[in-house]
Amino acid sequence: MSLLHLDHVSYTYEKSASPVLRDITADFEAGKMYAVTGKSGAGKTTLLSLLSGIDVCTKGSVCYAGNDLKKIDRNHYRASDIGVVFQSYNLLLNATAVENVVLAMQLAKEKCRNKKEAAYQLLERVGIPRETADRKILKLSGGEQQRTGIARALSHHPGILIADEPTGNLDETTETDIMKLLTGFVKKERLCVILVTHSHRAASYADEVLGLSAGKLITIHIQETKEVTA
Amino acid sequence: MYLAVHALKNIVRNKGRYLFIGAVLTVMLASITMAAIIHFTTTAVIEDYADRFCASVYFTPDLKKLLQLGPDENGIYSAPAISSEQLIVFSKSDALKNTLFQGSRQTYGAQLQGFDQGGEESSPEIPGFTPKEGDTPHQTRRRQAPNTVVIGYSAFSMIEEFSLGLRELAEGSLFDLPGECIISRDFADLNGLTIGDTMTLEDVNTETDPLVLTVCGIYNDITTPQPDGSNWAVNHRRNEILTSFATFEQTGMTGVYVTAVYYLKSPELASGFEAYVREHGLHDIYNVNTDSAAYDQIVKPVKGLKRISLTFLIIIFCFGSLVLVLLSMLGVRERKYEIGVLRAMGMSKGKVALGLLFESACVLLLCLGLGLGSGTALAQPVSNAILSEQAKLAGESPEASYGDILSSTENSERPDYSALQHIRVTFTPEAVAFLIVTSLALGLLSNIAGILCITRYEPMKILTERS
Repeated sequence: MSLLHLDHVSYTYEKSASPVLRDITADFEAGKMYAVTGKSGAGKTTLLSLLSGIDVCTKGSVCYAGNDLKKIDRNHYRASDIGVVFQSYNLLLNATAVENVVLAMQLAKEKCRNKKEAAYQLLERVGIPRETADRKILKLSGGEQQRTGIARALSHHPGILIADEPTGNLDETTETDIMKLLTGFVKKERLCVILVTHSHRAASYADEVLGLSAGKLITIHIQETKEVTA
Repeated sequence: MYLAVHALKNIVRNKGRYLFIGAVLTVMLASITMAAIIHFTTTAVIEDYADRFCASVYFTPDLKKLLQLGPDENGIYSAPAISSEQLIVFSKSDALKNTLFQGSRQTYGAQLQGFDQGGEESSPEIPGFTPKEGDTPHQTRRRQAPNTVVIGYSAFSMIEEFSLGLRELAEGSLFDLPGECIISRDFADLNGLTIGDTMTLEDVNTETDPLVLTVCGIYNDITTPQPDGSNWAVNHRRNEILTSFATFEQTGMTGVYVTAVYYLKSPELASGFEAYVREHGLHDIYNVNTDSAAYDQIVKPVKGLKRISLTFLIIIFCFGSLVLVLLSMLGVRERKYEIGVLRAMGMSKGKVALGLLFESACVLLLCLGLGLGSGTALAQPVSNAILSEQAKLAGESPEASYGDILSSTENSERPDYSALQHIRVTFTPEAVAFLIVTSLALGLLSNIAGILCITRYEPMKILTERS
């Protein structure tokens, strides 16, 4: 069952003549991890912005659970239905790690009695102990910030996690930790994870590896069958 | 609720920025408070003096013009009379705050006995009063010496004898409705009149309907009965019948001798009133005088203070608004990353704006308290300093000379004519209202600029700006 469906999606920037994404059709299912790879400028971030409802496609449609994102409240979609992990973390720098997670829960209107306690527990799950969780973001390492970003993205139990280069700034060990963590969520909570990454190591954890080239999205590799289709 | 908590935490998180904005805002609000308090106090002082002076207007014949006009057929220099009707028409001018009328009419009550009645017959100036055979009713009345005088007032406070304690209401009530009157105890006793009795009073000079007055009150009277020493009944104070001016207005003004005192809304309206009375027939021979010179002399320094405070207020408001708008825009610009993150997390523009508004409102409230306190504390010394400087600049000695100011006979509440050198500045309701509105306006102005800025920061930028 497709959770997120791209139907003949094209995107052209306002001051550009040629589209950056061309007639893309794809399905993303629950309980699977997808890796989108491609050269710089191939349109990975644009695709991510369309998937996360930050922008809308110029042609075609992006549907979440059968609903066209153009027709639904995309603020609500971003706050409740999906979680986004940014490459540069994009956390509230003056707030603590736990405050960042709690705010995301509040925005998603999570029906949780003690949000702060739930945030601490989630942060512990991603490897941030309580004493670190009470530190301001600027006092955390890159890996800790990325883990906080993941905790924030997962805090409201979204169906889809969209991650832009989640391990781009991290060392190999931390990258492995983060990818194992995400894989755990995919298997245990049937989360749909869509990664945009340059890292082959990170992509190797994905069930499907998709390549973005000349505005087209193509399947490069499917983990189970090991079949290369492009 | 979480938005408010988040906003409060943001104030603490961004304390450096907010301390700076708060300091600017406090200085601005303190200055505005100070200027507003001074401005509104000076306005109130000026209005109060305008009220106390009331800039009474009086008409005096111009001697030079009168001499040019020449004497009348009797060889007497006299100004053309101003009729009662004209005096009433003049009172309709928009420049006037109030007009006090007094009318008097010599009357004869056939059923009444006045004190010193009959004394006139021994007076050589008065022709015989004895009715003759064949007289018309009017001629008969004309041959009667008036034994009473009816005096009508447009306000009871005009009767000085009551405020001086020479007369005091002993029975009944004061006149209120047209046709009601009060009489002296002696006159009541002389004629056996009690409360509720009516008197029919005829005009001895004109053919008019008689006045029918009902006694509603009786007063004790210790005024000198015949102040001019004559023995005429009309001059005897006990024969006075006091009523409202409305009684005359209702029964007709024929035969009523009217005097009027006009009070301007503001001394500045004197020329407007003069134009009005000229237009409505006041003879050129009359000068229209006011006591505004004394008023000006007293309040000139206060007017200077008011002008300075207003100018200061406008400058601070404009300059301050500009600074606040800039600060707000810079603040939002600085926080574009944070706003972008919140938007990317799914917070709507409205909620982001609401959060920023709440932050600003909290800071504004705090600064308003500080600004009001310090502005109020500074207002008095600043006001004293400017006022004394204004008094010096005005070149006025503390004791004003006002030899050229004609006295107004009706203005009994004559204030001290010294130029004001000290005023007690206090919060007036107008100042409080102004400060609330100003603070709200400043808050809104700065926030609107910030909120407009927010719309420029779309979350897409956060994704593209990976640095």
